[in-house]
Amino acid sequence: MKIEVNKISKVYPSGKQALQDINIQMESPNLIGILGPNGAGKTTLMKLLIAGLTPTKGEILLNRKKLLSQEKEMKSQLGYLPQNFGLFDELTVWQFVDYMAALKGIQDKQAIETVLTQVNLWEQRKTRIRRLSGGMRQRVGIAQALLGNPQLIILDEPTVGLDPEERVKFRNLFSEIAQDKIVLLSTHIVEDVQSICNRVLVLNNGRVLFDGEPADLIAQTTGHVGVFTSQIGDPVPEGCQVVSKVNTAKGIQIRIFANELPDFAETAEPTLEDAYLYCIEKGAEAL
Amino acid sequence: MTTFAYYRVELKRLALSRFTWIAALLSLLAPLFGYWMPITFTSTLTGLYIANPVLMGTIAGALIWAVLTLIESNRIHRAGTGMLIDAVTSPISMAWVRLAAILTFAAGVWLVCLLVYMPYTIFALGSFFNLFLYVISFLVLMLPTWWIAILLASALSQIARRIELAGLIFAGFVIFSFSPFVTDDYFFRWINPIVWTFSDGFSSLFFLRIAFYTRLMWLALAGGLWVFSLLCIRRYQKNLFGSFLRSMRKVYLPIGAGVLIVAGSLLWIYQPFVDHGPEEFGWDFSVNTSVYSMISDVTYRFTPRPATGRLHGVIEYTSTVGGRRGTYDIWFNPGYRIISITYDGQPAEFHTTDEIIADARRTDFIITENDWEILIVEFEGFPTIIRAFAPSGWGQEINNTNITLSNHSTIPRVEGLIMPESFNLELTLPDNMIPVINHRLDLMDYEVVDDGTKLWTGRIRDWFLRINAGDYIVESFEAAGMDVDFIFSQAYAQIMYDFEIPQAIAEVLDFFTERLGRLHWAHLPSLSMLQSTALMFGGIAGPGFVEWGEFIFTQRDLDNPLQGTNTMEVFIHEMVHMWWGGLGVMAGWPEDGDLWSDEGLTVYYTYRFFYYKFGAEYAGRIVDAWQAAVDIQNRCFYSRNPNYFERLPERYRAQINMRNRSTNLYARMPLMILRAEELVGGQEAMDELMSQVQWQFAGSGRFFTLQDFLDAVGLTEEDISLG
Repeated sequence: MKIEVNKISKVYPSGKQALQDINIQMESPNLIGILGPNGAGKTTLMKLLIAGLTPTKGEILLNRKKLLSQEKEMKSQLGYLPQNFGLFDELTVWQFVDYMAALKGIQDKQAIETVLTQVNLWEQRKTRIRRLSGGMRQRVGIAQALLGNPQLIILDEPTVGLDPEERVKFRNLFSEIAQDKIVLLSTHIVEDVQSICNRVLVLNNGRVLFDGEPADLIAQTTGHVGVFTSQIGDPVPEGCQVVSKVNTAKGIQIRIFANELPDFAETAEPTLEDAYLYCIEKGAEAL
Repeated sequence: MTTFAYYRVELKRLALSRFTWIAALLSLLAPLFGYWMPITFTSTLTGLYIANPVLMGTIAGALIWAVLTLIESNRIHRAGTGMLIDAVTSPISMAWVRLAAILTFAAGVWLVCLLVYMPYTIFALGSFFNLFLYVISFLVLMLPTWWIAILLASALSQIARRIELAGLIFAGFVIFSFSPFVTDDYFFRWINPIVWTFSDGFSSLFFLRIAFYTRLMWLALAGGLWVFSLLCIRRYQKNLFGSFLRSMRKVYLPIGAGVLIVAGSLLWIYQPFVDHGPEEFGWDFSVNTSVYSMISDVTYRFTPRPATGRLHGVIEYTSTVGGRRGTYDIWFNPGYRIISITYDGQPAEFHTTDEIIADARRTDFIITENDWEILIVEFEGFPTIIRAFAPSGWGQEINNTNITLSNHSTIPRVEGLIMPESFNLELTLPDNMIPVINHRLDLMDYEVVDDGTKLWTGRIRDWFLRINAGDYIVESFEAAGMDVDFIFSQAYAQIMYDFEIPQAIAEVLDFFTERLGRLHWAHLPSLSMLQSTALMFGGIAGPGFVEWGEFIFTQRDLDNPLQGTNTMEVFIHEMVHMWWGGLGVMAGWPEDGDLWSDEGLTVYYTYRFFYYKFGAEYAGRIVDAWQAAVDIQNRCFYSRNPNYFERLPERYRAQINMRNRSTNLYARMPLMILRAEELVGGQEAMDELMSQVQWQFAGSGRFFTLQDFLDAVGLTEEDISLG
């Protein structure tokens, strides 16, 4: 599967420019993490990819053909978890996944068992959805997205509401299933992307600030992250952005990034989070 | 994955929803209320035990399924489940699937409803149970109305998207159907089809045919609206207009919606049941011909087709002196279509106009040669109801158990042809039917035809032709020195004999003959007493005949004399009309009230029979009812203040006048006659005086006026005035 996003712009009727001249190429296998602050355009991009929205400008090609002209084919290969979704509360977990399986044309009940086991809901398969906790409902959503081994999986904030242990488990699951397909993972949690994604997209204000491997994003930040120890009340040096503050016996250890680090700061090995924040900041400066 | 597979899973999902089962349960219970809250007007058993529960189930069920449809649509939008489903399949496909699933579920519940109520209906109706009528009522009234409601609710929710707005608009549709604007309209009452009654003795196809047609019309309109609403399904997060423009690319949707809406509109425009004449009834036929031809003989050959309700006819006019060339007008029931007009084998050019007067439409035809001998008109069609009388359903009818045709549904009026004194009538009827021509049995003879029909032929001397035909039993007996033919439905045989109706008729005739003298029409070969269909509310009487509506003889009223008082009054009232009024002029209703004697004396003598049969106390209650009606009239503000009455809009004045006329005829006049009875010395003295005048006036063609009455009893108007 190959998806080409060519010069896509999206302006909502309210006048808000959600995306601007976006160009992205995706080919399986690929596990792509989409990072960006709120309102960056992540959800808009995902909705465009599932034909839930039409672009104002530009086009999306699926296997070299226009996506909107092959909506049906795309949907037959799609697993989608929206950020906000509802379930039929009167159904049991099994009945709901079975319903979605039937809509997807999956007749093999083994497929349902597989996804319910994957998302750790097998024990709760006979529980009515209205009785499920928020995290469990999220897992039902993930289960329906994974049904039928789709070639394109788009997950918008999939780990929201999951406890840390579950989050790790799901991260690994996404990594496993991405062996032969395109998986798009939109998240606020940089750690998730760092752990499993082979590619990262950083979006802000409707523009792509970075598209590449996480290591490359980190590499771009090398020499721009530093640490120093400060006392309460000391000002942050000009041009520096604080990533973290840790209280120690010697004072407050402050982690910063900047285009030019102050002399007193000791250069540090950047993490993906540092790189992401630096990238966003740099993007803002460019605007 | 096919749409059918989607349909199966959606059906399964719907079956797992508790809302669906609540709707199903309520729909199943709804017909029960029809037993206690009657919707039809008369007390026929099939009306009580089939029409009422089915109509209640129809209306309540339609509301219930519409609410379910709105809830289901809303749930999918509001809960966000649609986001997951739309990612798998097209929202338009899913709209089809959801609609099909809910329609199917409704159909399933409908079937269960039909089966659940059947045992009790069989038990309650006994020998009157008619499986065809039972099933067809459910099929024609209930199921399509539920579907129409679902289509409308689904369409509105797809257009409005918000349940409150869609619900409000749907409520508007419901209120419209119940509103006074469409109370009398067969075609716009989508949720509450007009069914005044069902017939136990004859067919109920009259209402069912109209209901079937209107259901079809509304299914087309609602279906069209629904297909249109597919264009409004919000897609790609666009608003209503944006989604509409986007979906217009699927050209089959606007085309489909257009085709269905146009089809529904055409069904309405070209409906075959009610003519397209003026709302006010008139009888002034325009004459557009100046040519006249003498006709020496006419033969009317009619073949009613019960299966379709249509009539085929061939009319042969013979002119032995030779007809003239020129343009003639032929006025026929507007539902009839002239197939051909020929004279001496040559086709005549004809043109059917839009001019409709009373119950007829004008067709002009041109004969281009003189001295023609034979003129033949062939026609075929569905006899329509007069628009001005449409709500009552008192029209023409052809079905497998009953045929009722009169006026221009039988003999066309032909301007330009001078008719002979009599004509030949040939009627081809199913062999189970007996024709009653102009309320007489003795005018026609028959021969059996091999194809299961009988050819009835006769020479008729009356140019007003009324054809009644039915699956009748004829009970002939003698009463008051006259031969009587009591003609009634086969289905009523047991009731008529169990309740000794022939003996009751004889008793009434004896009573009045004894008091008012021999009936003027006693010279006729027999008196005809005909049980008509349930479409006739009340009855009519004329020279030597009485025709009662079916409900006079319903088991419920006969079982319970108190409940049946009204029907018993009608039963006697119509027979009294053979002495008073009913001189063949009752079809008219003169503004000046010259017919007062018809109703005044008839009501008075009906009271007299009750006095004789049940005693003074019982009869006193009838007098009290008259007095109460007069008191109401006297208390009426507009009766006391004519100045204000004159200022009222014409519509309200007409209503008040109509009510006053009714009170005058059926309450004030009987009270005045009762006062005259006291003044002349009691009942016997009154009978003595009245027996003299009834013979004098009956058959004279002259109205028996108030002054004639006063002269007969030797009193003045002041003497009997009620003040």
